Amino acid sequence: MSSFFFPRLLLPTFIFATCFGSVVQAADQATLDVLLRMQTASQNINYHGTLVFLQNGQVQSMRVVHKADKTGRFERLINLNGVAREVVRKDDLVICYMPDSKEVMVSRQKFKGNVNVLTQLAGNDFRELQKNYEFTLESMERIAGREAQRVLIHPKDNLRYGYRLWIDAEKSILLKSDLLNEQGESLEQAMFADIAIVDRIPESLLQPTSTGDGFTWYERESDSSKPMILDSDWKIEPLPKGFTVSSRFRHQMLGSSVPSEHWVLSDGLANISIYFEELTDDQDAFEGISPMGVVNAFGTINAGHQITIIGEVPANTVEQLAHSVIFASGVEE
Amino acid sequence: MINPSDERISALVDGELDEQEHQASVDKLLAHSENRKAWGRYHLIGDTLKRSLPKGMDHDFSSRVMAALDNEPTVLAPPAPAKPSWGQRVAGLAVAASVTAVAILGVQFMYQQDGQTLTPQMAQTSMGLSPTAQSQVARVNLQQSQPGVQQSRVQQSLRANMQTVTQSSVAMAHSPKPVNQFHSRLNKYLVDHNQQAPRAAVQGMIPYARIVAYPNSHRLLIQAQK
Repeated sequence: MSSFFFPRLLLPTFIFATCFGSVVQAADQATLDVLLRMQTASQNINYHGTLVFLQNGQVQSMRVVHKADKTGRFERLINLNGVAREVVRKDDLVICYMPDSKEVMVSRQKFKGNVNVLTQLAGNDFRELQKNYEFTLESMERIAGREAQRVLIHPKDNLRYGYRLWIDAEKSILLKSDLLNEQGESLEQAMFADIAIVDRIPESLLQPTSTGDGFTWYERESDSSKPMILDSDWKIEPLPKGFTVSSRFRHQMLGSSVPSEHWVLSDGLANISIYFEELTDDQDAFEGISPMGVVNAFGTINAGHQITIIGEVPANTVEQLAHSVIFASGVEE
Repeated sequence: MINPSDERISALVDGELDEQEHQASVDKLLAHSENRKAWGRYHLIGDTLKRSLPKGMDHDFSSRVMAALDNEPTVLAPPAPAKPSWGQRVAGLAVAASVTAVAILGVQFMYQQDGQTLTPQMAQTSMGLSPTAQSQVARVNLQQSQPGVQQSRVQQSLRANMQTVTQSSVAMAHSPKPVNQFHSRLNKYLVDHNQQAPRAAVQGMIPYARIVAYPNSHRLLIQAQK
């Protein structure tokens, strides 16, 4: 546990890398172990509780149920205040009930089951992440009546947000999570006010409250059966530092009849979606920035297409991306 | 502690009560000292989260907020008010009411035991979709490829959602309707993005929490005004 007390924060990482390489490795390994344990816990621990969500000075509380065993992973979140928005997930199938707009959105995640980035981090990918983020084990703190290990993931530039995570010392469940800007100020907080870790979750706790009767249902066809797009009319140059294109699919936007491309950029932690949709005569375009809590969206028009960039990244990142989109049909690279 | 049922508080939050009812409910909510204390406790929780704990507990917070709201410019205009000044008053109260409602519900649920807020349903399928619901999915899918009444309805609503949005948040605040429709459209992107986010491992289910918590349009208006 020496890493807890090592004054890592006081010195830039590169000094450590040069002079105290092995020590850095040990400290990093300890941090990585905590994160990996958290990842494993999400795959085999059952719990339910009340999650308090703070965003833009608004506090909302939601009921959270999480079940994970050999039959799969199940989650259910329902807002306890105001409109009872609800998300129900079974493995890669995600269903969102929106009573406010009387809509239900059904979607399948591209990456099935327990695939996740952190289990791949043990090797070189963690080094890649460290180019953009600095990882620090912090002190212990009590959350929802439980001891939690704080982990700071600090962004090295203003293109991405950071995270402070409170991970249960015994069970490795994520008890609290802050999203931070470059100055380390909290932009969004999610915290369990109470949590019960249980042996089994009754089926009834996972059933959606809403039946969705009388709602309009939208279903996004599964991308997992489709090939990635290899050739696109679009290019993004330059990509924001540290981001790579992690997927490109053709699909129809939920509820839209116009085919579109959906690109996902990732720096390993943060994701940005870019939607390219052909504009038709009867559609009005939308342009400009729109903050939705910590998620920023930027709309722009390019070569007769509506381009929408959305992600849990700072506004300047989505805006910068909008200027990097190039229509490159028939143009030699 | 509160007389109005959850539905009434919810309706109040959503602005679905008529003006007279609004007035009565707001009066009733704020008349009870218990409710005002609950509000104070709620804000203490919020402050704790924000790590900005006041030096001493302030039980009189709600009345100060109410006083402050009286001086606030109107953000939410109810549809075509007969008397503007009356409309402004109601709008201000509606904001106060939604804050109060969230406050009271928030405090209640924090101490609620598990299961009380859940409605168990018959497990008809693994995901609990009712047969009607499943057929609805099928129907929408089918009609996306075969032009029909429902498709045109869906397309109409989509077209309605395609609204030009200016960059100016002030302009947004002055034209509530486009923001509403903008909200509906961006909502779909937000949901799609968060549903698809494959690498959300580090924050677990937080992307889903964002879907659940995405403020409804009148909240957006309030934020735009700030």
